[in-house]
Amino acid sequence: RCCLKSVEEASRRPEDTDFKQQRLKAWQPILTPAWVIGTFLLVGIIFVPVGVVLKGLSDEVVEYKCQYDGSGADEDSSDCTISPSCKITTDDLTALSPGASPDPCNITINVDKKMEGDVYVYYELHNFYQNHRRYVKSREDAQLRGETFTSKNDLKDCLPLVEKGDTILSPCGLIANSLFNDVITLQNTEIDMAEDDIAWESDKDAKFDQPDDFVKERYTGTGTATDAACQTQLSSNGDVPSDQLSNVGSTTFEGEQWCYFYNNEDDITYLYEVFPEVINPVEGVNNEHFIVWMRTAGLPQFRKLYGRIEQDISEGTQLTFQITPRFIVDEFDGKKFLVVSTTTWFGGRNPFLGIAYIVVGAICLALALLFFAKHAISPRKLGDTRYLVWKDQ
Amino acid sequence: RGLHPTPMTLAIGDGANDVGMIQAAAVGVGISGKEGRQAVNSSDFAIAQFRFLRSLTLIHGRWNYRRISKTILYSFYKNIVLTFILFFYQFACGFSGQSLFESYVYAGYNFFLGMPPLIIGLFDKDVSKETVLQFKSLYYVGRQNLDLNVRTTVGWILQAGFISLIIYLLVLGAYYWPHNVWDDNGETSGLWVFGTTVYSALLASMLYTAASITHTWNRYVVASFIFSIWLYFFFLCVYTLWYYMSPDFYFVAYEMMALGIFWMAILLVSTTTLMSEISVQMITHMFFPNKMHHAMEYDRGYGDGAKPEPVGDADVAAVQAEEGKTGDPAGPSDRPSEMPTGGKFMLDRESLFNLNAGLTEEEKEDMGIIPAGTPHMGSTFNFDYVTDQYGVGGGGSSLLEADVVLQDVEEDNEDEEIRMRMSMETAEVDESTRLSYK
Repeated sequence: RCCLKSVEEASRRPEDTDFKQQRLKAWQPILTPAWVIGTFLLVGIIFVPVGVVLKGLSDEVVEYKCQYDGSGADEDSSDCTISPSCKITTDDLTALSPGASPDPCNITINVDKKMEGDVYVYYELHNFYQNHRRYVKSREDAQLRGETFTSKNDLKDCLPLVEKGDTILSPCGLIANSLFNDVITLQNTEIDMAEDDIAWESDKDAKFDQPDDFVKERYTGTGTATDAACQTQLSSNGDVPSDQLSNVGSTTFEGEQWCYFYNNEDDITYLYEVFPEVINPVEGVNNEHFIVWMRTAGLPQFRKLYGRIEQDISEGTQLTFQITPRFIVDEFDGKKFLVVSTTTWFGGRNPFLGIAYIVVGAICLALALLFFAKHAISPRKLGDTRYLVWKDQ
Repeated sequence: RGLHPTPMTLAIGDGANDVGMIQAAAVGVGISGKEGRQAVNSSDFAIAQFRFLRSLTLIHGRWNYRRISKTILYSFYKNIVLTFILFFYQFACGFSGQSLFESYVYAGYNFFLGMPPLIIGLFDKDVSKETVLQFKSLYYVGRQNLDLNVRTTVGWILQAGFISLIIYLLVLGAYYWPHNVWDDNGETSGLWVFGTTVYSALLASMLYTAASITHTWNRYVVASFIFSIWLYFFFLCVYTLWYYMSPDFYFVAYEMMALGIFWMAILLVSTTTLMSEISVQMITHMFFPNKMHHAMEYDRGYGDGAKPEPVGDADVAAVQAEEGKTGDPAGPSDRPSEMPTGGKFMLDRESLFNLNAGLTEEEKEDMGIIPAGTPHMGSTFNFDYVTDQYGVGGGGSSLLEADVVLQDVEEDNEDEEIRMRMSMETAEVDESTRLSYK
């Protein structure tokens, strides 16, 4: 019999490295009562105080919330006084004569606790599903960035809302054309509400731009600009086609006189035409309320930042907001709220986070106690080799 | 054939005549050696020497069974959790089918979580080789199919349902109450910040789950976890700046990671997931311990004595030889020694002895059992060792509970044929070797 190893066999032997011989150094931990009890104790000891701190921070947030439309809006609230009613229905809107606005209403908030600036003003909507799949899809980002689309077939993403009549909507889509168009102003003379810097910087810089063929110029004449004067002014502007000069318009924007031109007004309906009370033709899609609205919320109850008060509001102040309502909510059983609130480093008032940490921490402590009790009262022998022998199979 | 339930068979052989048997069996093992490559080419596993069979099945086979079951169950589990979460969100979006996660973020899921299950499947060892050699009954996990069966699968699915609920509800709660106001600068956010937070919490929880089922932490395992975390954040930071790939996701990741609430939510969710899994494991450990608990504790040194001494591969043969003298360290089995009728056919040393004790020489020859001490030409089996152990000779197995062990039967004429073919094939083998062969 041959007991010699052949030349072949010897050379096929695998290398004697740790990796190939499967003896890599490794940490082999194992759950033991001591380890687990210690960990649960540690987690409990950390989480409960963290939760207490978070809850405390959340309680420091001063928030006033006034429902001004939808069912339940008439109920008296200690914080808010609404007069006259802010409620609006579709019938109210259709009954308006062209160019007329709905009657504004006033909401007075009694600030009974000092609010440290910045103080933020929001509108809150309930039962509005900005997170519905077809709604989220319904936008054309290229168009929002300024690309011109002349054919509705290129705007399929915006379905079901691409056109108005036989003109293309620019911007198209459900999101853009459902813009929240209540106008909220702060009546207090000594307090200012700023409506800029409310949208993400990155959104303003990169995602929204007027159409490529849009033209605007400051009015160079004296007095108030008129359409005719602007047409003259822009006739020398090379970007305005001479056959469309009649579409040049004039307006006031941020206290100044402007001349503007949108291309192809006959075939395209622009944002300022759909929402004239909110969108000024000079800024178009760059309007920050519009940009804020375009960032679709993830849940059907949401707030959107409307304005910012950059000063402290002392105790006892009466904040008076005037609202010109246009946004209809009663058709879908929705609600509208006006919210004035301070923030913490983790956002608006959030009792949940603090409570969740406390609860999880407490459960961990309870489990640590349970395991400790079991281990102390009737510990199990570890590594009992009697169980590992043949007999016990 | 004809037995119910169909037994799991292992066949081992080294010659061309063994090919049929090897292919017919569930697990075919070929021995590479003097008899050429025919057996090896048709086998599922090839080993160099017969005695390596013990290593193959008892040690490596057992490890592989345990860790591949883990990999399989975890791989399905993580995707079930993902899908459950997407389902729960439907209650908040009017059942419109809106995804919580942006498309490429979602598509990357199995990339971010791909390495850990793979690496665990490669390296994880529940107990060391020494412990298994010492307590060979640990082979029972594979025999009784304890790691991958209906019960374990259903268990993981239920766990998936529970964990997905925890992940979704905790993040939802944290993000719902402030109604979209998550930043200290008062700015409001949207769907993608919320969704990507849920996704990040999900990833963290799944990594914690993988960690809680990993027994062996070598450098590759550690690296795979670190790599997964790095990959995710790297992807987020790069992808979120790539406007043209996804306008929806532009800058979302940076805005999200700037939120205090994001980090607090991730910490809360991942810790809660880990704690709940450890609780279940601890309750099992304390109230329903099984053999493997004891085995692993013994293996880590918590048992009766010190940790078992490491044994190198070269010493395995020595260990086996030792055992041959003193018998199984755990003592002889007290199983009944008459031949069992039907069902599983359990062979241990004693039963084997007794089985063959009642046979006549003629019967033994008919069955192909070669009398003890017969010198056997042209085979690489170390028959001396085997014959000494069992007193029966032939290709007997070691202490494994295979259902049926098929023996290799050599016929003299075939040996001659093979030898002749061999000498033609191994032209480079030197003269002296060939001479001693004859």
